[in-house]
Amino acid sequence: MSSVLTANSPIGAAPLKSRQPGKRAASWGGLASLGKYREIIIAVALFLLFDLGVLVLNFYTSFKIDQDTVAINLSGRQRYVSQRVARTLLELDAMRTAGLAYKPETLAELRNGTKIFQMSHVAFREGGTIPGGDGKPVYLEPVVSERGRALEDKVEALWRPYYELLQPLMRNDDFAPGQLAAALTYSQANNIKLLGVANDFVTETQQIGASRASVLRMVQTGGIILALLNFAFILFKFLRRLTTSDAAIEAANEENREILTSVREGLFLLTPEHQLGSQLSSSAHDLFGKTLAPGQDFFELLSPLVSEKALKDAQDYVELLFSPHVKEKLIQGINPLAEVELTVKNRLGQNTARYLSFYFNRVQDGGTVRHLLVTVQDITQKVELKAKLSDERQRSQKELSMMLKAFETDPAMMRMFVERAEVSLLEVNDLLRSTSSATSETQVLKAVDGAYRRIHAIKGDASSMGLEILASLAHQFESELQKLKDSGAATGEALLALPLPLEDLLSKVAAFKKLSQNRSASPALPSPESVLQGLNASLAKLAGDVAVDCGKRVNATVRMGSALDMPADKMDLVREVAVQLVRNAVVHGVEAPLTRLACNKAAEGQVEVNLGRDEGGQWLLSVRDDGAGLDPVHVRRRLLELKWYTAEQLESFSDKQIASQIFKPGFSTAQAASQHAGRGVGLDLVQSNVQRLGARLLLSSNPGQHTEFKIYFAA
Amino acid sequence: MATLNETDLKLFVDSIRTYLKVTTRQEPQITSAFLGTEDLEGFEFNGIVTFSGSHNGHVVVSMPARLVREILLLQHETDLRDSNLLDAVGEIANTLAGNARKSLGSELDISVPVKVQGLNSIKARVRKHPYVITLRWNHYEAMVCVDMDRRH
Repeated sequence: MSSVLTANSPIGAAPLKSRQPGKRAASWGGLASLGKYREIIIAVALFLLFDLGVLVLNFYTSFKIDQDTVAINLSGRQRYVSQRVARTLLELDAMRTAGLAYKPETLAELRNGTKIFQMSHVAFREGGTIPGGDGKPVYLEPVVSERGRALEDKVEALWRPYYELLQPLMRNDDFAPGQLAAALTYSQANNIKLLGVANDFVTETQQIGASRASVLRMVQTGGIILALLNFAFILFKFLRRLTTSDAAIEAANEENREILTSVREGLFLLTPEHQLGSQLSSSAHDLFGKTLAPGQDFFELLSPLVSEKALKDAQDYVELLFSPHVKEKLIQGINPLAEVELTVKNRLGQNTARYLSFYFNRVQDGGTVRHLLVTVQDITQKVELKAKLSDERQRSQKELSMMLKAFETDPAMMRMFVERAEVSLLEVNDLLRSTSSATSETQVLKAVDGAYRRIHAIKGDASSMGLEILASLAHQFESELQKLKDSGAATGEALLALPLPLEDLLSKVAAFKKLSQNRSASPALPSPESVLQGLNASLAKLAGDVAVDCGKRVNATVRMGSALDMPADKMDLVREVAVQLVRNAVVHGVEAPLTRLACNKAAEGQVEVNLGRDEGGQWLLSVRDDGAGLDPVHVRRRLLELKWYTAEQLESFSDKQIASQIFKPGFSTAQAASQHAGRGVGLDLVQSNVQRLGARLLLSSNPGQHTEFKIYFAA
Repeated sequence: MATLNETDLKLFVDSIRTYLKVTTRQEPQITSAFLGTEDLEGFEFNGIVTFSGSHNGHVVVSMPARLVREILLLQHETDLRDSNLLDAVGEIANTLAGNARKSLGSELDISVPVKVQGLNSIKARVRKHPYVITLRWNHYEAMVCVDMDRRH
């Protein structure tokens, strides 16, 4: 098994560490492996040596046995020859007695027999080449055994005189009868003895042969036993070593498995062909949100998860890492995958954003980069924490700047604002509380709408005071309320989200209250003129601020001169209306500078706000802008998009009826909600306040020219 | 002092919702969630759990007698004396304490629930404006007042 982490170490010690530089590791490995197998090599060499030894001995002994066989044969022939000599002597004597001539073949037989006996006898004693059974010369070794020598001596003692007596018969055919008689007499006297000795000698040569065969057997047996023992040793050694290394490999694999299944990081090797290695940590699959397969192309895996540019950068970076001449440490800083945002499905099948970091480390062998070890970590929490921290920092900076702004604001204005805001927030709380006794969902939604309007008014008020943090808190609160409305069911858990932002707002407002109380040490009320100036200035500033945020240019003229005569509670409602209408005029009325220029208008839009009394003594608040005007076509299209009415219904409505729709809660022509527009609450709030004032609202608009809201109410 | 979040509120409310759902097979509805800006008028039977350690403050579960009586009846309880009703509220508060311990960590110290009958008004102790959540169960109203803060 090619294991990622085992590398060269069979017991897998410190498998995650990078390996020794290649050459040294290889030479150490070579020596170690020779040392490891030394015993086995020696044992195999011994095994061969034993086998060779036995083979050589076998050859030698077989050769000796061959010689012994010759000796047995020749000693047998000598015994036989001695009897032939004795018999031919008797035959010759019989021929002589009968007066017959000696037969030449009998004489030849005698001579041949005597010669062979003599030659064999000498050869047995001293060694020598003699004719064998088939007449071919064979070499006979001298008999060296003690008993053999003794028997030879006996043969010598019996044969020597016999041979001497036979000499005259050997030389020529005309030997004297006495010479034959002498030889015959000796033969008859000693033949039995000679036969006996020759017999014993045959037995002796047989015994020599037999003992050599038994030595051969013993040697063979011993050799085979030694070879077998050696074989058993090798087997034992090998098996033990195999078992040990198998166990070590198994243990290493088990450790690797444990590491790979429990490590929280995604770990795998990347081949130079950019394929995933065979070993993947379990977390790798979880981190990618799908099952990875060994051999899979890494960049194919990445491509649906990251942008095209990030993918290209990653490919270049990996190429660099596979180039051995580039220093790894130098390029670690440019890792393009240090923070990758992915969208993966969680266990519930929902898409969730996750941040992963990929780190690449080289796995080198000598001068070449064999693999890259890829470590994948989930850094979502870290990234979120960082974002949160930065949010907090921004927030505290905002708070600080707001506090500074609060210092700049006229203390009297500030005090009036916080008092209004506090009352409004407590009203919101009462509305939230009222849902407990609501008998129907409509009632709950009504309370939510009411709260929404209050919060929207506070948002506008805070914006006009330049208190952005309060405006954005109010905006967040609106978001919660919007969620509640969107969910359709204004009961249950969603309600739990409401008291928290409310409390946040209340505590901030309380902080401002404290601040303004400390600053205006004198309990005297602010002068009416300063209040009026502040009101005018704040509305003009609001128009300017909103315009900047929308990328527009606006000049606001605010004349709320008659406000001083109005009761405070009425004035608060009027102010809220003015704030919303000014925002509305800037966001929806005044066009962007380029559009205005294209329509032959000045780049800077005009917004006029007036509060005064008409001829009949009624109060009149008017907010007019020289913008695009209210386009009924646009409103119709939006109403259709919102699916509030069908196309047929919308066709049947008059333009006036269409225009009245813009005051309904939730209507907005903006596509997405921003801090200034889009939730459709502003005009709903206007409508609500108009009702509370018992006022009459007139809307006039000339497409491309102007929009004007006029609110009449009794003094 | 870090403030509580929506999850913390949900934890307390869920304890009571789950308790009622398991014991009576009828889940209560959250009808409102607001801030206690003045002294709150509670109900007759109250279970109070006090927290210290990582958090500081207390949670009050307040229920009218009729509601508690109904819960007991649904549990086939026949003893409907006030002391038994008080015990039932104590048990609910105890469940809440157990869940809080599980969710808010080991550094939280939780008192044994205190049972109070006829609490006139609930005063804010830790927060300026405690969180108040009202529930409706079987036409009866109950209230949970979370007046606590996180220390760190």
